[in-house]
Amino acid sequence: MPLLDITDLTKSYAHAEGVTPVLDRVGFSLKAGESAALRGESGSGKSTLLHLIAGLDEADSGVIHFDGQAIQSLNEQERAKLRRDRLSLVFQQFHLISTLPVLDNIRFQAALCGRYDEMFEQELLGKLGLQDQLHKYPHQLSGGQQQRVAIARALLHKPALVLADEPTGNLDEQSSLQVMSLFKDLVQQAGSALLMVTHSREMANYLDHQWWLQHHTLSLLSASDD
Amino acid sequence: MTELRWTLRALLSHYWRHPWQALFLLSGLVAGVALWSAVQVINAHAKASYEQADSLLGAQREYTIYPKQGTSIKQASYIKLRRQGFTEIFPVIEARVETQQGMLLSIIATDLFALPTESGSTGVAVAGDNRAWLDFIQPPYQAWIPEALANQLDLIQGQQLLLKNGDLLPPTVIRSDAQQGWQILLDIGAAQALLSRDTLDYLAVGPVDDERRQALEEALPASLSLVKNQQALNLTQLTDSLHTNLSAMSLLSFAVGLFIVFNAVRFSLWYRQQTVKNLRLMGVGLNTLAVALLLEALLWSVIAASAGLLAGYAISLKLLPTLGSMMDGLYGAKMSSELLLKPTTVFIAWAMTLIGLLFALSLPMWQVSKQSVIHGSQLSSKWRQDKVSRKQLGILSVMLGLAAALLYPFIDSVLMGFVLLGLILFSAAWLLPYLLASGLAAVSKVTPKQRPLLRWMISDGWAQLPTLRTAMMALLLALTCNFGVETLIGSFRTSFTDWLSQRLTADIYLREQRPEIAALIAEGKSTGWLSDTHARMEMSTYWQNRPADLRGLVPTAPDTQTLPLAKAIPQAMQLWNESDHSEPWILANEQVHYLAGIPLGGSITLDTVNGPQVFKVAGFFYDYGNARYQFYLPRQMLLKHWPQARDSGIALWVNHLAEGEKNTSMSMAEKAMLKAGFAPGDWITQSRLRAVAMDIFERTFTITLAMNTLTLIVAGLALLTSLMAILQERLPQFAGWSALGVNRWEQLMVILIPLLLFVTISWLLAVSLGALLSWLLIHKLNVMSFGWSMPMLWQATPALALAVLCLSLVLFSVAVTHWRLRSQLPKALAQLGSTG
Amino acid sequence: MNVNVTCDTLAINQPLSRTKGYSLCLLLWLVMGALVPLLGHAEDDTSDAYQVLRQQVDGFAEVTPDRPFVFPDDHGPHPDYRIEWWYITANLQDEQGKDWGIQWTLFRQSMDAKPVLRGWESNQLWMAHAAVSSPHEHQYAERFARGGIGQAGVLSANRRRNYQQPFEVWLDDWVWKSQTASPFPSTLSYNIGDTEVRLNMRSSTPWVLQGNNGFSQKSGKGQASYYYSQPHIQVEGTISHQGQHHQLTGHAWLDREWSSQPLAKEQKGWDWFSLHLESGDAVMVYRLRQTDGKHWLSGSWIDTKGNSVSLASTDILLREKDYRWVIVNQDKPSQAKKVKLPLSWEIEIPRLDKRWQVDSLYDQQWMNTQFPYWEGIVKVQGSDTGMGYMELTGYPVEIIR
Repeated sequence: MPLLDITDLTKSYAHAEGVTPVLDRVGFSLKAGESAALRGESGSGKSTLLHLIAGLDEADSGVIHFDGQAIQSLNEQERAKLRRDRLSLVFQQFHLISTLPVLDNIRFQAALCGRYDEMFEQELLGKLGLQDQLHKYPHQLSGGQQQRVAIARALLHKPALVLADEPTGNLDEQSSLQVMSLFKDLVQQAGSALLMVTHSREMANYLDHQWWLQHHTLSLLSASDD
Repeated sequence: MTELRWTLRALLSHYWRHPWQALFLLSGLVAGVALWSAVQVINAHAKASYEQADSLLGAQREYTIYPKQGTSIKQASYIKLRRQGFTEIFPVIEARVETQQGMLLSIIATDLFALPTESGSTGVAVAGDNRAWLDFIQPPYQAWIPEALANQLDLIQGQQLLLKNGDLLPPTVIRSDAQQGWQILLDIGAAQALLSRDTLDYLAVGPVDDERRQALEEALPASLSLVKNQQALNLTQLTDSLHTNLSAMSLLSFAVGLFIVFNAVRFSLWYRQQTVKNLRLMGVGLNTLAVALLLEALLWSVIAASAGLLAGYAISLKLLPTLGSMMDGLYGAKMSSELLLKPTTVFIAWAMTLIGLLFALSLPMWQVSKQSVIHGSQLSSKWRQDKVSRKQLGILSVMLGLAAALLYPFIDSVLMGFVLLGLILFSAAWLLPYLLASGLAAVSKVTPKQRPLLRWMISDGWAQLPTLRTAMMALLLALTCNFGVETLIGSFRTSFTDWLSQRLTADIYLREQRPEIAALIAEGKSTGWLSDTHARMEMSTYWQNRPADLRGLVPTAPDTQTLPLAKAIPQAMQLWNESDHSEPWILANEQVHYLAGIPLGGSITLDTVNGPQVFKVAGFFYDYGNARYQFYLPRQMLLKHWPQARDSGIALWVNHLAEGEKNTSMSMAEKAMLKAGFAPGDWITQSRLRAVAMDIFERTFTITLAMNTLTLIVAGLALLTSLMAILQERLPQFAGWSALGVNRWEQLMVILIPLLLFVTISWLLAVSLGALLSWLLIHKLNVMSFGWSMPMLWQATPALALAVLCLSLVLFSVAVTHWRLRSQLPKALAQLGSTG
Repeated sequence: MNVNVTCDTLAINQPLSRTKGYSLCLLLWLVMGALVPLLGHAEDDTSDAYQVLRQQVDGFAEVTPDRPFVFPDDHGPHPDYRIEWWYITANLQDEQGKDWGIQWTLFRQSMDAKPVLRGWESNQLWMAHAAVSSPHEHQYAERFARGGIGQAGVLSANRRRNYQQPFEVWLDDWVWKSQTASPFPSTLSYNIGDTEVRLNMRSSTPWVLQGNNGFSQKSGKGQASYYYSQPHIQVEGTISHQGQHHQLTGHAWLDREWSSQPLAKEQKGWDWFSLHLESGDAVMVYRLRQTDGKHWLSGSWIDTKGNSVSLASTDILLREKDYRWVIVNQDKPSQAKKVKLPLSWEIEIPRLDKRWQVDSLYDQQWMNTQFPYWEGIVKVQGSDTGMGYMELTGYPVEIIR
């Protein structure tokens, strides 16, 4: 059974001038521990797809099964629990809690779901090179460092699925690749599946699958395409 | 629990990193509680001081025991009463002595040991200033002299004042008690030695109940009589009304506090919306968030309530003079702390803050719960919705206004009056956003097309309006409160002073008429110090089953001729003076008009010795604070219908030979009265009477105004918070403008112009609203609950002063905002274009 | 305050007078001297108030041994001495056998060594304390008056003149009055609020001269007072309390004492007991607590006929069995205070082979007068059963925050 199984997912936004379709009968599935890149033009609905999976937004039709459970059937409380315990989100804007020091930020979600692995924390901190930054506040760090903190936070509790939205979008190319390769390794180590929105082919190449969102529908890309 | 703990940590860490915001939030809450509690203390305090005004050194004096014959009481009579267990009585000697320079000084003497205490038993408390008053009661004794008098007499501590007859007063001790007035306090022993006598002038009686009074009357020897202490002015009743009005105003300041809290809570949530969003992304449930925010509110309420009570205590101590009766220098402090530490007070303060916070939290919480996680609200994105909220608020406002208008004719209790005030206030507050928007639209329309920059500055108001809305409402209420109190107090003070000067035109009031009076008048006329007299008569009766007083006035007396009338038929005084009608004209106090509903020209039937007699009301006179009905008739008329009426006091007008010689004629008069056989306690001078009344009012007025200014400052703080929030959010915009070449001056104008417009509109509304509230309080609530009115005084000065205050508030806020803008703009410019 | 080395040295060598009335004298001093702002502060630290008593004032008559006592003259005031009191306590029972108690005291204080007795300029000051301990509650009151004007005082017969003068002690309408020159039989009447006390007292036993023939030494350093008592007074009378009249009978104890010299520097307060035993015997014991722990103990044993035996420090063993908190001003939270008091005791007199447990009947018998102390009914168990009065002074009062 796939970890994530999506069928016929449709979403559109209504506004004064009419209806803008965003996703049109999108379907795919992802097994535990697999990784996939989601590419596509701006406004093609990549982020919306992630939000729908995370239970942050409601689809018009279609089903998202996570670990055999339909996300649509969960109430807000249960979705929050799902996000807390099984998922992680990594965004382009790092979404760190600016008023807490780095260490607290990293441990935050692990503390929330009560899964804390000290060894893994040491490993994460070591690999991400954050040992000396633990008592600083987010604004005292560079963008790359902040993203490393966000990654550490997202992985410390070893979520089943990591949803990443242009995680390196705020970084220059050099550090992007650095962070990406680290990210991929650590996701693997955590045993998590990864679904990552990116516009970069280089980034996408790190992952098991690449999917292309165009005209609101999904098509599979082989590594050689594009 | 872990989830809650971490959520709380994340939420509260915000204040740790941004202590200023915690301070803003607290300032609103603390101000609310502080104002409320300080008003409580001040009201209680003022009430206590009215009661004390008529007491001697903190001992209440309800009755006085006078000799029926002569002017003195034997000491043995006093001791005999004490030994019968009447510990409520204490001996008093009053005297006038003359200085070398011919100045007359009042001396009052008593036995400090004999003063009744609050518990009813005899007891002595010791002055709070550590001064041994052992020396006061033992030769060579002490003369306790009020500071101002000592200064005038050029006396220093320990000095003995030489009198005209060569005697020396005991060594001076300078005291600063308000109660002593201009009198010199001596021990009875000292006074007897000084005056070479061994008798007492009268015995004062502390609080007694009816049973006790009756027992005392029975125990009195035939030579003494017990007389109810007739106050020249009943301050307690008079001031009940003032305090009802002040309570209304303190409720208003609570409403201001509520808006300020609402504002603060809204911003504290808005600043943390990123944190809230992160928390929700990480899977913190809405329930947990709600509980965490509730806990936060609980925490704030506890801190704010304690800090507020503390601040209220500090404010009341600071504002209250060291009133302290002579017996108890710590009186004020003790009373304040006793009141503020009462569990009910503490609980109310805490509950008030918590409810205020929850009220303020509920709407934003509801919004957060409705909001999708990903679409975090942007203040400026709200301005599109602003029109909708404005409309909703406007509709609510109109509904409240309608409710107020519907309620108005049916108001018959103070409580309903307060409800009406509340309706009007909230109606006005909620109308404000609509008015501000209309004002903005109107100004935009008239701005010339060829001034694009100016048009831009004005139109930027649309972006500021949603954020400023609540702060403006708080400001409006604070301004209203300020202006309302100002008007109320102004009216009260002016009419009270006018009334006092019209009512108390005589220079000296003699307590009762005695056979000696004829000789005194003859002497006064012949030596020229006396210009006029007015011997009044009075009697008590019942009208409409309630006690009523009848007074017989001499129509030609100066104070009769200037009697201020609230309402009168034409030529009222002339008609009143003609006694040959079958239904004679009568004057009644306003209470008869308002409480008994008698119209001008209406009939009053009173029982006379010859059966019922109908009178017609020629006019209503102002009678501040009287709880009873009162009627004025010409003296002859009173005697004709009620031969049993007795003489009451007599008023004397002293001939002021020339300007500046008032003191001389007054001392001539006082000497003459002493010579004629009157004792100094038998009369009171106009200046003393007036001083007693005004002193207390002035104190309350000053304090209230100070409190109001404080409210306004706190409201200003709320405005500043809002401006900061706007700045925070619009920093990229400012950076963008800056990049376009908008200079600092223009940036300043963008903030200043719309704000000035908004504040001006609020000020205009506040001035009219304040006037409306004062009018309602004076003409509706006061009349309804107390049966008397006063002319309302609308003054431009306080309105203008308020305008100046507003302007400085705006300038200060804008200056601070601009300073912040300058310091943050470079960073914002650097980030410009990096990401959106 | 004239505290200096000389005074202190002198003070140490002064005999201390007795026990009971000291609190009240202190009170007077407080009142007269106004040395401490009373509201709030004075009561916070009673030991400070005691300081007043540790001063010495020159010029007053001194207490010396071997003074002959002359009655009825000595029942009257001794204005050459600084302080003096007439102190009555009584243990009573109503028809249901419930325990009641009363305390009534008049204190005299000379403000100056040269007494002035007449007129407002009199330097004699009077203070009275009264209390009623009903089976349910303790009520008390205090009053003040100055001498010389007839509002308060003591009239007593004198061998040289006024031989017929009936004995009378009063302040306002609080009166203890005899029809004859002898203090007994007599009536005591006073009221506290609406509680009215009317008691008839009689006694037929001789006066007990305490200490050494009435010279009562109070410390090892020789401080002393003149002190005599009447421990066997039969009482009957009524107390009307909350609208009900109660017929009461029982035993009263009178203490008369006068002195000029104040407390020694190291004395903090005292614990005093007067016990009426069922056998008809009576016992009085007191202890002056010294900072150095060497407390001064004294007392006397009086049999039914009035024969007494003085008890020296070495004869008495006094032990606190239990300390309990007493809350003062419970109804006024802002003025609430608490004081920890030994309200359970063991008294042992090995010489007489006696050992008693003494317990307060109930704890709320605090006199929150301007100078506060505990004075109330105690019950006696052990070698004998009985009832008595206990006074505890000089314990620190704490403000409840």
